[in-house]
Amino acid sequence: MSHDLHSDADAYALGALSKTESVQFESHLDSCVECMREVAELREMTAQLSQAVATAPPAALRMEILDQVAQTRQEPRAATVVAAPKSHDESARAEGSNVVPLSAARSRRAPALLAAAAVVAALGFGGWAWNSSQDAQREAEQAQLAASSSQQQAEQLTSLLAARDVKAVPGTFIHGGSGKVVYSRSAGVSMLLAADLPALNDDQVYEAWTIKGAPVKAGTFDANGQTALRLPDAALEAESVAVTVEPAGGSDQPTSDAVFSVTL
Amino acid sequence: MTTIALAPPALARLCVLPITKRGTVVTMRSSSPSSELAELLVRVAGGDQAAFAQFYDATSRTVFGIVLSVLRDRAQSEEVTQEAYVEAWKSAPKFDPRQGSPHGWLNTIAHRKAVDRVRSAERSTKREQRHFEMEPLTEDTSDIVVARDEGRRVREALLTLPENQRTAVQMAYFEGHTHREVAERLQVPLGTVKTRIRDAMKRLRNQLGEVTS
Repeated sequence: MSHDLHSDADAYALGALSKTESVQFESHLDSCVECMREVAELREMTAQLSQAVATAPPAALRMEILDQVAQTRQEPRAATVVAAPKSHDESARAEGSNVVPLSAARSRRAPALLAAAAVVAALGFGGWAWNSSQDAQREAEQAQLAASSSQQQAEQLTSLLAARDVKAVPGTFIHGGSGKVVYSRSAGVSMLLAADLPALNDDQVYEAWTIKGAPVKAGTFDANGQTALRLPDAALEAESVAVTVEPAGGSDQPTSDAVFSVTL
Repeated sequence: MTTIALAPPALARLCVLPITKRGTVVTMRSSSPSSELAELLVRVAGGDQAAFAQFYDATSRTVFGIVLSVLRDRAQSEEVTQEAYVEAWKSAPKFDPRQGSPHGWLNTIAHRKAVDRVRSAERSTKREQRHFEMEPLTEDTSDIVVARDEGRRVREALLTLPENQRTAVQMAYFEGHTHREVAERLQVPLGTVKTRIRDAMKRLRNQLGEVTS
């Protein structure tokens, strides 16, 4: 029995949805401008509600917090990314032409998606079918297809590029297609990019694994054009990342040999 | 059941005091104008720790207050308040003013953390059931007295709600229950709780809509 998700906006803003309900509502929010506005307004009001119970914290807490903050790194701002040049030439990135400044605006998805496309192209990912005839809009759409939770993924990709210690480890899939694990420890993000994968049967799915001693499941994906899969944090400490073909829904442990594997 | 003790006039006036020996910095009002806070947050986003300290001073009563309201336990409330401020520091560079005010942003971080903590805690232990009691207007004087004009306004607005609506908001927001839990505890359908919450929020927005800031 489905219900009208708009009606969850109040409860969401009050923090009164369960974890599952929140996730559902958030994916609705991703595409509902009305609800976005509603939630934003409601949040201003709940901030006022909190004033009703304002209470002074113990004085000692202030120094503890300031001390911890002094030792805590801030998360990077949105990066400035060079838009994909007409050719694949990665060195064009350094020229600063077509610089696309990014905003963190959640309500303006297109720039972030364009940035995601640009990031992927700038990483020189050969598997992506960027060619000079593609305009920015199509690139953004392709990035949207690639990034299943597009806004979030776009930001993750851009924070990856902004990181000083970003690394890309390429590999090929046995039956066709290419993949890359792109990661940065400082950004705390690891992603699997894949393209040109052979289609699977309806009852199959690609599944990624992080391996440190034993394989641990890391997410499933289909062969839809391009893939940008955010890997769990375990990937940052893993020895290798692999992909197998599993039954639809994924498995807890690999049931077949790896079709893709890179050592990190 | 809510009780309010009437405040003696002395406590109701605006107090501006110099820095005390304990080094507690005083804000002039219980809630800083949004524009000042926004300026501070811009500096915080640039890594300015002195600005962060001011940001803390301007907001800590509200943050600690709502966390304490949800968690009830002072020690845990201190921990979660700390977590909230550290997260605010970390994610300040990503704050987008187009999404809302610094107040709203920070309050969401804090309330979420408190709710996450209380819900994971109650999986193992039984949760303290207490009716929400509004803080009396007579405040303990162990800390600097700051005018609570804004707080009073909100408390009064809450009191104008029909009891059903007020209870729903108190249980959901101030105590951190899910709307399902509220329905169970009150023995009413979930739809009823949703309606009460929605109506309550509508009324409160009408009442509190004009914010002086």
